[in-house]
This record gives sequence, C-alpha cells and structure tokens, in this order.
Amino acid sequence: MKRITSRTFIVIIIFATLAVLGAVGAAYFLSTHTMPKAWLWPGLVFISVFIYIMAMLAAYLVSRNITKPLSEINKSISSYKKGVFAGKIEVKSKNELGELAGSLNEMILEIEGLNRGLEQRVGEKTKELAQEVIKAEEKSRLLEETKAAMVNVLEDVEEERDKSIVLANDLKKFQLAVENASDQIIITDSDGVVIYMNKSVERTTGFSPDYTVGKKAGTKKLWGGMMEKSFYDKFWHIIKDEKQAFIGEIKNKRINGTVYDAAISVTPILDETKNIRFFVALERDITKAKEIDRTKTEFVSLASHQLRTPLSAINWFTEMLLSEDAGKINAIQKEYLNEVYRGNKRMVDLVNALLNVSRVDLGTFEVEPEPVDVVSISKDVIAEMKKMVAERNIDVIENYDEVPMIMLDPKLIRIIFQNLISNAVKYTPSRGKVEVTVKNIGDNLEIVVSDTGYGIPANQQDKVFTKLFRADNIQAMDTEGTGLGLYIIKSVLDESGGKISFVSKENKGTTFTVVLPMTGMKVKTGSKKLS
Amino acid sequence: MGRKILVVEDEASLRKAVSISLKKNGYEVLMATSSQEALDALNAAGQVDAIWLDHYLLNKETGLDFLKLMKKNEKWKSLPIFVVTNSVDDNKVRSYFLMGIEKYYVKAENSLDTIIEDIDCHFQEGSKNG
Repeated sequence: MKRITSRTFIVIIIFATLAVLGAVGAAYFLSTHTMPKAWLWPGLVFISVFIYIMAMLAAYLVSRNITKPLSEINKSISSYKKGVFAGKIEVKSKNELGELAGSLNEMILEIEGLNRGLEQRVGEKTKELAQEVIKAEEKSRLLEETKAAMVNVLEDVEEERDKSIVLANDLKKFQLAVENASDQIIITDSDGVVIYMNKSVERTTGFSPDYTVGKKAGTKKLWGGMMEKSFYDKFWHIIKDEKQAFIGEIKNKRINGTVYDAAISVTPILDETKNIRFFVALERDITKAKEIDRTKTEFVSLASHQLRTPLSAINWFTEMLLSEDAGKINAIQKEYLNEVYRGNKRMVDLVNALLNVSRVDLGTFEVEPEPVDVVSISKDVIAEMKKMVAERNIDVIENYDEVPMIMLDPKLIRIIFQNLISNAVKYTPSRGKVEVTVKNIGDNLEIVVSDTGYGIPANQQDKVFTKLFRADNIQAMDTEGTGLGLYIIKSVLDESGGKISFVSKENKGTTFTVVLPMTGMKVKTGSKKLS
Repeated sequence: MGRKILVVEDEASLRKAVSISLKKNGYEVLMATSSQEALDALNAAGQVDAIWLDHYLLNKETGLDFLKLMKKNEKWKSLPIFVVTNSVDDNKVRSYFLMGIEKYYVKAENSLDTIIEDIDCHFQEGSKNG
C-alpha cells in the first residue's frame, strides 16, 4: 500500500532536491563560467519554467492522488448525507485515500446494512404493530357488536317482560274466573288424573285439592263409582276413543257419602296432532233442579191420572148405556150418547197429548233406539186405522222401498205414523186419497204422508208446529184434533236427529215429510216414555 | 161360568161400572179398595179365579205393593192378574210384568167390553189347557 504521505514526502524531497541541485548547479556553473549576460535572462527563464513545470507536475500529482479523491469522497459523502448516494465511492487510488474510500465504503455499507437492519426491524415492528392494531380494532368491533347485541337482548327481555306482565294479568283473570266459578271445574291429564280442581269442587264434594290432585277423577276414591260399569264404559269411549265431548247426567257422592245428581260436560282437549292432552270437566249439582223436575213430572203424571179417572167413568157408563145394559135406547138417545162418548174421547186424547207435551217440554222423555222395521210399523198403524179409513171412505195407498232395520225408538216412530196418518185421513174429505211412502234417499230414511184434503191455509202455515194449533179451515169443519200432535213429533224429531217439513195448498192437499238419518235416532236419556 | 173376580179399585164410580159389566158377563164380583181389604177378601173367599187390579189404591198404596204381598203367598201367587189403571209409565208396566201379570190396560183407552172379552178368552184358553 503506497502511502500518500510517504510518497508525497518522497516526491517533494525529490523535487526539492532536484530544485536545490539545480540551483546549486546553476550557481556553480555561474560561478565557474562567466556567462554572457545574454544567457542570464534565458537561463532564469529556463530555470523558472523548469521549476514551474516541476510545480505543475507536483500539483498534478497532488491533485490526482490527493485532491481529486478527497473531493470525490467529499461529494459522495455529501450526496450520501443528502440521501441520494448510490453505490460505492469511486476512488480507485491504491493509497491512503483509496483506503479511506474503501473504509468509507465499508462504513457506508455497514451503515447501509445497519440501516436496512433497522429498517427491517422497524418494518417488522411496524407490521407487528399493525397486526396488533388490527387485532385491537377487531376486538373493539367485536365489543361493539356484543354491546349492540346485549342492548337488543335487553330490549327483547323488556318486551318479553312487558308481554309476560300482560299475560300474567290475563292469566290471573282466567285463573280467578275458573277458580271461583260456581260450576265445578276439573282439569285432568289424558288418563283422567286430576291436575287441577276449582273451589267449587271442594264446596260440592267435600274433597280437598291436596287429596284430589294426582288421583284419577270419578273413581270410588273420589266422588265416582255410583253408576253402572256400562255408563263409565260409554263415557270413556266417547271422550277417549271418539274424542268427543260427553254431555250428560251422573250421580256422584260427596266425601260424607251423600249422593247427588250432577249435569256434567267433559271435553277432550286435543293438540295439533289430534292427540288428547287434557280433559276439562264441568259439573253442576242439579239435585235441586232434578228434584223440581221430578216434582213437576210427578205432578203431571198424577194430574193426568186424576183427569183420566172421571173420563174413564164417563167412558164406561156411556158405553154401558150404548150397549143397552140399562135398558133399550131410541135412535135419538143413541145419537146423543154418541156425542157424549165422542166428546169424552176427545178429552182423553187431549189429556194424553198434554202429558206427552209436558214430557217433551221438561225434556224428560226418552229416546231408546233399537233395530226397527219402519215399514211394518207403518202397516200396523194403517191397520189400526182401518175403521176410521173405511168410515171416511178414504183410499189409502202404501209405497214401501226396501228399507233395512234402523236404530229407532219404536214407540216414537209409531207416534209419528199415527199422527201423520190420522191427520191425513181426518182432514181429507170423503173419497179422497192418502198416500204413505217409506223410502231410502241417500243416507236418509224418508217417510212421506200426503193427502188430497183440506190443506193448510198459507197464512197459517208458520204456526203448524206450535202447541194447540188447529187451522181455521178445519176448525170450521166437524173434525177433531188436539192441536198438539205435530208439536210433539217435531220436538221428538229435533231431539233425536230427525227433521219434519211439509207443503200444503188449501183445498188441494198436504204432504208431510219426515227425514231420519240411516244411522238412526240419537239416544236420549230420560225418565219417561211418550205414550 | 160363575168365575169369581176380585176387583181392587179405589174409585167408587169406576168400581160400580166394572162390577156391573162383570156381573152382566156372568162373573161373581168381590170388591176391595185397598190392598189390606183385598187380602181380607181373598182369605174370606178362600178362592178366586182372577184379580182386576188398579194401580193407585187407598192409603197411598199401589197395586205393586199388593202384588208383592200376593206373590209371597203360596195360595195366591199364581192367580191371573189384570191390571186396569189410568197411570201409564213404561217403568210401571215393566215392573208389573216382571212381577207376573196377565195384561195391563189403560182405563181411558179401553172399553169395559174389550177387557172383559180378554178375560173370557183367558179362561177359555185356560180351560182348553186344562
């Protein structure tokens, strides 16, 4: 490594030496030689030029080896400082300046390295920080969302709470109503085990909720067990198998053993899949009402019996007079006695009809269906009326379809036929026609009784089924009737699932139609049969 | 025929009509108004051929009460009974038939002749069967 300083020093020494030697030489020369004066100035010029050139050379050498590299270095450093530096300091001198440049380059590289390292670390740190920021932002967002959600929940909760309060108030209303209703209300599960009973149950039966809840309703342990097995079988069949409400009467017993009559209504409560979830049973103690009814019914029975007694006496004695048991009678006596007899018969009919009406009104009449041959009853009734039919010279026509046995109450069917046919015959003039038809129409049985008789005046047709109604046109004629027959059969049909209707034209005739479902009459429990 | 019939009926006028008719048809008539009277009459007579029984009797008794007493007695329990009454009640009718009667008539709907004819028929069939 040539050193600038040493080189420079040597060069300067050399040049100085040369200069000195030159000067010494020149001086010697001058001293030994006399120089023409003419050579002085050229000689000085020559020495000056020589020294000048030597100086120039020296300057050049210095510049090349020292100044230029230094300024290069300076420039580089300046531009580096400005941050514009690119690349190495280009100083290729193989001397101290080169070393300096090299060192500076190395230093710059190191600085660059450090910088890059720093940059990298800063970059990394910055990235890390950015990540942290993102995470923090994410967390903050989540927090915001959670907060918003919680606010929503709180609002919902408040809404629910308000709704609950309203529901609770409504529920309280229902609860109070059910708890305090005068009727007994019991709710059981689908097996009949009591889950709720209201106050009235305890009041009526004496059983407390503690004792009752959890037990099967209507068993001997509680208030039940007073009816026959067939009653309970039918009861459970209707509510559990048919899933229909059971409405009827039952005898129950209180905790002290006394028996009471109750009207009950038990309804199965179904869910969306039509499975039974609960039963709701309503019960009312009707012992008093039944007692009153029983009294009324017995009164009616007794009254009709009392009325019939004198009527029987009149009947029998009149009959005896007419059969001449008390002596012969003449035609006029016979005629008068017949009037008496007829009037009496009317009274008897009226008493019978009133008895039936009272049974219909009190709802105490029974409908007990059994398999019945409708056609044979019709034929029977017509046979019974043969005498009346012959007397009035009426042509009775019968049309019967093939009709199967139907579940009907035979007594009631008989009453229907008797009523309709006797009306038709009574209210048709001599030589008229009465047609009795029994037919099958779809799911129904139809009984049609038509006549060519006096008909019912149009302005009175709406009263036909009312009590004691007799139309003006037939009242005027010599006909007899209680005015109760149609009322009775309509009430009976209403109760047992049938229908009755008519069409009529005055002086043309009337047609009554009774419709009964092929499935038969509905059973009706009662204490009496109509007669 | 000379058959004896015990008529148990509390209404005087009706009793009269019945007994007149029965006598007209050749029957011997015994009368009673209550079940006790009827029993006494039976015991006194020793034997009757049929009983004409009303439902409502004196002392608030009924024909059913009387029948019960009758059926307990070996001597009387197979006597033919004809119930002739104005009370019509399916339950009553059922009860009577269950206890064992021949026929049940509603007074107001039947002439005496009809009832007596039936009684005649009954005896005729009875004699046919020995």
